[in-house]
Amino acid sequence: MANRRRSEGFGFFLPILGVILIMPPIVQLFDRGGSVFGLPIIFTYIFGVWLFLIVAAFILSRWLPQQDETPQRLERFDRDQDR
Amino acid sequence: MIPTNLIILIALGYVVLLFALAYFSERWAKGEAGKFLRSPLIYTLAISVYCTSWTFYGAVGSAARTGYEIFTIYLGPTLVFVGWWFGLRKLVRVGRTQRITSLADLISSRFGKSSRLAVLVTLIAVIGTTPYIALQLKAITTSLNVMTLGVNVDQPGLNVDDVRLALGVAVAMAIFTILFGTRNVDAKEQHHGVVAAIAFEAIIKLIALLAVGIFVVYGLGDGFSEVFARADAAQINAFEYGGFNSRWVAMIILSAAAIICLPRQFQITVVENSNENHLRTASWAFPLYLFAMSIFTLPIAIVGTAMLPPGSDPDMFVLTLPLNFGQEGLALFAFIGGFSSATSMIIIASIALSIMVSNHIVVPIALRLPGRSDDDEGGGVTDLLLTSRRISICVILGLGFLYFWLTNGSGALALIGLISFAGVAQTLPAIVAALFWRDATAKGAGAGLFIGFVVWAYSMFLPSFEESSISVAQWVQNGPYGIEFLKPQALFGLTGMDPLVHSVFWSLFANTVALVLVSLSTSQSVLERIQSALFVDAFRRMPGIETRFMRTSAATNDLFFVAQRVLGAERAGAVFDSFAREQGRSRTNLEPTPEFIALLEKELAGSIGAASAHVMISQVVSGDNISLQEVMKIADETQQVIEYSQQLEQKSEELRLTAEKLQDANAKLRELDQQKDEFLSQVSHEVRTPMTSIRSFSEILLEPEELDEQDRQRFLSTIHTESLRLTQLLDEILDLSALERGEKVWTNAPVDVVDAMDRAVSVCESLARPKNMQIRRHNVPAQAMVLGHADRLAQVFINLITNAIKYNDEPHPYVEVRFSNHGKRLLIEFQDNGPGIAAKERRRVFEKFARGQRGATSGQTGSGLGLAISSQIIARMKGKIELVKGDGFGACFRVSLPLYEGEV
Repeated sequence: MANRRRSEGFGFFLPILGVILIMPPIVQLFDRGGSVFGLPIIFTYIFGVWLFLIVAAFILSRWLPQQDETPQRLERFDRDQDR
Repeated sequence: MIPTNLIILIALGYVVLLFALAYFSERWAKGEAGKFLRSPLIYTLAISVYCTSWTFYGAVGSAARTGYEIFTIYLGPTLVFVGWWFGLRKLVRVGRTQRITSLADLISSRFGKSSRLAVLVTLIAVIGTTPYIALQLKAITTSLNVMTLGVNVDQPGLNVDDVRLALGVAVAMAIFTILFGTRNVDAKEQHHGVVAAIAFEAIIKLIALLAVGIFVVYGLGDGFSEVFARADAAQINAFEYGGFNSRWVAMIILSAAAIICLPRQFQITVVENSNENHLRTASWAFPLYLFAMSIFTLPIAIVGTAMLPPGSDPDMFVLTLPLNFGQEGLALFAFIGGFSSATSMIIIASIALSIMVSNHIVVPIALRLPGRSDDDEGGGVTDLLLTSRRISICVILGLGFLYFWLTNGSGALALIGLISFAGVAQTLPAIVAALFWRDATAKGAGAGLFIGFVVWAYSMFLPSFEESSISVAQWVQNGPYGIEFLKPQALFGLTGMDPLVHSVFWSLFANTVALVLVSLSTSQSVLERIQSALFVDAFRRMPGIETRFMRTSAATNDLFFVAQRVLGAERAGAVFDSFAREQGRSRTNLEPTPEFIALLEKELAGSIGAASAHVMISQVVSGDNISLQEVMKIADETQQVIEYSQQLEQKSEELRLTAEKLQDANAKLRELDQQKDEFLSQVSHEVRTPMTSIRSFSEILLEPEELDEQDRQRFLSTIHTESLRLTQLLDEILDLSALERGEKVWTNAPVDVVDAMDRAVSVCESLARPKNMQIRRHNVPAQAMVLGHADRLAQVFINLITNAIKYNDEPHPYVEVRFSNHGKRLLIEFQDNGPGIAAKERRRVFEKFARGQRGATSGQTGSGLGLAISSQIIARMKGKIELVKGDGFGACFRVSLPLYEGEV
């Protein structure tokens, strides 16, 4: 249960962190000349944050609790329809 | 140049391929391959219908014009998907459990199955999507022109060919979509075949764009860094700094809203979802897809601007770059990719919109028309639905074409797309309220939607006709009838803002405020309340809430008749059979319980939307919903029961605690009782020995003869000693019990320990001298004050020293008294060189009557209460007395007392 809470906490925190990272004022910090690995700083920053969100979402998707089943009645009817 | 006919042939061939794919997928969906078709991978790929030709062509154009701004369009959806657990998951759950067929259905169903809301949302969706469809038409037309004529110069206005071409494309798309999407009316509005085709297109467009990107970056350029170096060299002003302003924020908000509110996204993400857990995969896989689609956007824009002749349309760089450098094959592939992205959008969007139009506009009207309901058996409504959907598709594409024509195909792709985004974003406040705000009312949602839509239409949609209509241009320039105050792009005199930010701000602001204020000042109907609970508490199981509030009576035949008309005889039969099996009856004897009626309504809603299904069922079912008062009564009763049970829980918790306390107390009492018994028996034993000797000696003395004076004296002195011992024992018992019960008046005063020790030693001297025992003192301080009782303290010391003397049989006996300080405590150790205390007795020495083995046998007198009393006394002085391991072999007792630091 504690684990569920914690993973949900991260699930809630991640998009908020993402919003803060890509919104002004933080994003403006990187809006300047110069380059890293031969790429403009802002390009590296935006795509770096993007990639970080994807990786974090991947890890979270494994960690977040399995959802309780769709209500049984619905399942049964879906099955009947498939028949 | 590639011949026109060949390109059109290839495009047609591709469409045929798609159709075949859809057709066979539909058939496979029933078999084993269906598992693959309903996999998270296909689901994710289908969601990427979000990437239309706007992404494929327009993103590069946008990047060339405005730099990084275009990535907001993908960052917004990324955030929404990364946060799926708190938003999308609930949306999908509600969509599945309530059999939601469209965006309009969702909002209408939540707000009391209101038909008016459904119509309003449908209108917003249709009008909002129209520019978007026009965008696809423009993209296809322009790309065809580029491919066949090599036109790559931005040309103002349209020529006749463009219009004819766009019309042709629109017609072709209409036919295609009708063939695809309206072959039958599915009970769940899921189209496995179409989804498969869309997923296939998603792969094609991704590969095509990546291919062009790789060609541009590694074929024309020399890797990423070299390409970016070119941007600096060419001084492309799109990459100047300062782009991360309010427009950046507004676009992220818009795109995040769009991924939920765009009718085609809703269709794929919610309606076509076959398993909630697919979202889990999509939460990272879809952002990854967007990432891959965007990674080459900037390089292509840079290389295109730097290497193509000035004046080239940046929107077409993806095609013109390969064409200009002789890669016709690649260009053709890219064209197919762009074609894929456009067609997938058109197909899904028009299917989604046609469902809305037919379910929420056509069917309700048809249901109200007299005579229509007495149609032939079976298929009546099904036919109506299919026909209305086909016509809707034509109308929707027609509107798209009209927009394209009226706006002269003007504006960059991204600009048109944003108009659409802002339009459909007006439904976002209503959706959020539907899922998370219990008290939102239908009137509030309606007011918000309406005002937001009007503001959007006025401040954003209208100005998009600026170039084609002089009066609109005038209006935008000077305000309506010259009223500056109402200028569409500077409402209420709010100037100096980006038009997009301006419109998004005013429309969403007005929308939300209206939604909240009207919701707070109106109340919900019964049905709204029920639906609100179902939506907001989607993750809580509430069996039977829908049925609890309904008292119905209906004939099974009538119900079957209705179901047959909507679902067709076969499916209706299946539903009835399935329920009859559950009841254990045959279909004809089926009991139309409220539960069944609610279920049937939901089934119908899966085809014709909640509002229409509700109307149809209500026509058959009499009794209908119970009154508000009754609902309130039930709610009140429920509330009371809940409160009562909470009280009970509280009470039982209190009782449990009390019982625990009682048990503890009982255990303690038992222990005390046992201690008392032991004490008594020990006391009796101790008293008995001297009493016995006194008695026997006095009996001897009572015999007058045979005793000489000497013996008589001896016996009398023994009696005297024994009675003294007895008195001492009784005194000590009294003393101890008084100490233990705390009855004696006890006052702690500052006492000098050294003083008390002097007294104790001088008392013990007389005892020590006969045994030749030495009492050594070490480290004696001049003075050591503690809070305590001087006589009692001396008593403790005397007791400890006496013990050391009594039990010591060594030839050179001694006892050492050592003083030391430990922090704010004074430590006094009594170490002797006697036999020590056996290990098994160490724990018991402070207990009453606990004389050591030696003490008991060595004939020494002593009550065995001394240490128990000492321990009590020291405890009264907030100190401690314990038996420690000394450095010698004898026993070592340590008394520790807190030092008194105050004034004496």
